[in-house]
Amino acid sequence: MKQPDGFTLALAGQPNVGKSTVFNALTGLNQHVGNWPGKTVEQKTGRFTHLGYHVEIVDLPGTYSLTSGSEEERVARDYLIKERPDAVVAVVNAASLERNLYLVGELLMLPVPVVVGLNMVDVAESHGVHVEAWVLEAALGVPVVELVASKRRGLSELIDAATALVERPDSFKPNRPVIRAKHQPVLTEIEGLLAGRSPAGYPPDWLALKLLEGDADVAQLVKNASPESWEPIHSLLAGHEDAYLDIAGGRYDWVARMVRAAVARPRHGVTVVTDRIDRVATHPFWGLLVLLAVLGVLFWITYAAAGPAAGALSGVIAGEFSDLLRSLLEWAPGWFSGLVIDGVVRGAGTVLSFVPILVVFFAALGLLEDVGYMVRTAYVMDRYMHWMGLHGKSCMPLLLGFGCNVPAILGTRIIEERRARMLTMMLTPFVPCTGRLAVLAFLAPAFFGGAAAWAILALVGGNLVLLGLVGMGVNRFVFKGERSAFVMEMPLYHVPNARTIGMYVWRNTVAFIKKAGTLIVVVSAIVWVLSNIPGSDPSKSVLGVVGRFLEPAGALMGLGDWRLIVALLSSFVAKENSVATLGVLFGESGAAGVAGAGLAAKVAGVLTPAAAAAFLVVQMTFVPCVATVAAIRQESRSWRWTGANVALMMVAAVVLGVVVYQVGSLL
Amino acid sequence: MSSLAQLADGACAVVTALPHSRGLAKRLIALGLTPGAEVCVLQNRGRGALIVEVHGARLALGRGQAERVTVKSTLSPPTPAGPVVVDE
Repeated sequence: MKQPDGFTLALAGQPNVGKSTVFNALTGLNQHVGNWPGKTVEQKTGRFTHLGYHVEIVDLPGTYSLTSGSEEERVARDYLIKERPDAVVAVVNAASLERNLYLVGELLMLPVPVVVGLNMVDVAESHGVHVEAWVLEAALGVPVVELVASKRRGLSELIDAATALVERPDSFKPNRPVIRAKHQPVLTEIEGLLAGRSPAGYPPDWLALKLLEGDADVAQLVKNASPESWEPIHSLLAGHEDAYLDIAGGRYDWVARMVRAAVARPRHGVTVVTDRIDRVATHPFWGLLVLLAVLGVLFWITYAAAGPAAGALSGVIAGEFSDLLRSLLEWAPGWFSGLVIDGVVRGAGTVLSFVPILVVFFAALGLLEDVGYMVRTAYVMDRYMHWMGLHGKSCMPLLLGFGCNVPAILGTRIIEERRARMLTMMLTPFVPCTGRLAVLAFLAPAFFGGAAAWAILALVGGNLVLLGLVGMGVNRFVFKGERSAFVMEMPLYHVPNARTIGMYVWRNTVAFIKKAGTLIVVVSAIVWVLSNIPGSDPSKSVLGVVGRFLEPAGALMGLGDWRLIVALLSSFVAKENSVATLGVLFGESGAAGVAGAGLAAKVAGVLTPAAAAAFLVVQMTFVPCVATVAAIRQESRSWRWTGANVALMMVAAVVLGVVVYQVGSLL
Repeated sequence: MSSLAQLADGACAVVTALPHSRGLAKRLIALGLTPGAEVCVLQNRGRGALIVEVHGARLALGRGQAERVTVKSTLSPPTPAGPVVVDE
């Protein structure tokens, strides 16, 4: 119930309705992003004030329905039933209103008043779809407010309407969907069997409806709450197993009645903007060319715009900032300033120097996402992803992986089937992230001279081929060629919104800094300690001893120099660390990213061309960095799967390294 | 009776049956593909995924899934679900 000075709203809606835009516009940066307790489903909450009320708003996961039993759907409906927010704001997309109202039909069965935010009316109009909000409002019996959330239009009116409902909940008289006549008697019968015995807090009519829809969660709930009433209900349901089709059909009948007078669509066959773009963008051949061109531009912009900034930043951290710190720490013992400056600051500096690259990359990717192009890449790539038993959706997190593997692993949440999700997760670390690409760009010119660009292209291409081969292998031998279903909404193209893209960049970058930052700093400090005890001669340190121990194995790959092995090992902390470690071990002090061409030349000096190629191949395919391993563990919830992933990459790297060196030496 | 995957570009039909797999059927329903719904094919190249329009929204649908959706062809393209048609 309403508190004197505040209330709680839940924000519900299907994907692609601009729900996050509404949420961000209402809360600004006054929001908290975490996970729902015990779930790998993202939870966003925020606060704002409106008409003197302190409003707490909870962004529910975007779901198409509350029926099919995904974790997101369970989270959304459990929240509404158990936490009982004072009202639900249901955001719907005016351009696909019928499908969107299906969810509203489900929300209206729950014991919380609903306000409908009719969003993207501008996109709908530009595609010839016109919706009369007041007609829809009259039909639904629910307040309907027109929105253009990207331009912040209608938001205040939306919250006015929600506040009015919270102040006078009795005024809420919705026109709820009703079940088709054929199933009315059995529904009444189930309600009768449940009477007085339904689990506390759940509306009995909703429980009865969900039971008839064959909802496994609700069945379990009723069974636990009242085992004696379950038996007759269960046998009743056995005779109506197909009722769920009729209930869904009935809900769409209701939707059709609601929109009958409110929506005007263009005649069939009218070509809209989206059709014109898609004629090229989703074409089997031209679409692939468009995708390649888009990726080319994406990488070019990322490195052209952010490369120099990243170099300058790491220069400042390794140079001026470290010098300043060194003079401030003059009083301290040598080991302490060494730990702080060469361990912690260098580690943190490595992370920070990547931020400009990630910001530009995420901004470009966010733009593609916001205009609606990202799902087209999934559509175009679907055919090729089938070779690995995956479908197009897996393509989207893999693309994100070119920026950083950590958000890419989190991004696999969009894939519904666990099997496909696990495989995508396993393949993600084969996508070369900016960290690896930076090492490659730093060393390749010294190793290969004029052919460096071709070598870089070959190495990146090699990683993607390896990704494909591993995917096919795992699919064939672990999953036995099972197919997963590809069903995905293709939203209309629309004008991008700077705020939405800004939030996308912000969230992905923060996720990177938090995950990578903390881990990398800690592990950098540990690596520094290991390379400095006992004594300060790195070759006699713990790390040096480990490196020397591995020299015979390294020699198979042409990497008989322990410093190269240690550099590869340190890439486990962060891929870009290889360069910093080489800097320390080859005596180019002040290292980090500014070691300069001198270092690359020195390293090239100790390697034959075949060994240089082997070094880069291993660098590109060696175990995922520690932050990625942590993310895989968190998302897969399986140490075995995480371990298998690390072992697979380690074996692949060593085998490839040996092959490349041995074959290369023969040439 | 034929499958959704057999419809040509631009053809429209009424959905008559969904795949037997309950999980898949429920996902299709939530995206608007219900028995009785009018579905129009926007792109079908004979191989690979399709793009269809149903209940005013566009969906990408794998060929394997489209093959398991049974449809009955309608003779001419129907007027879409919201029957108030504007002529401009």
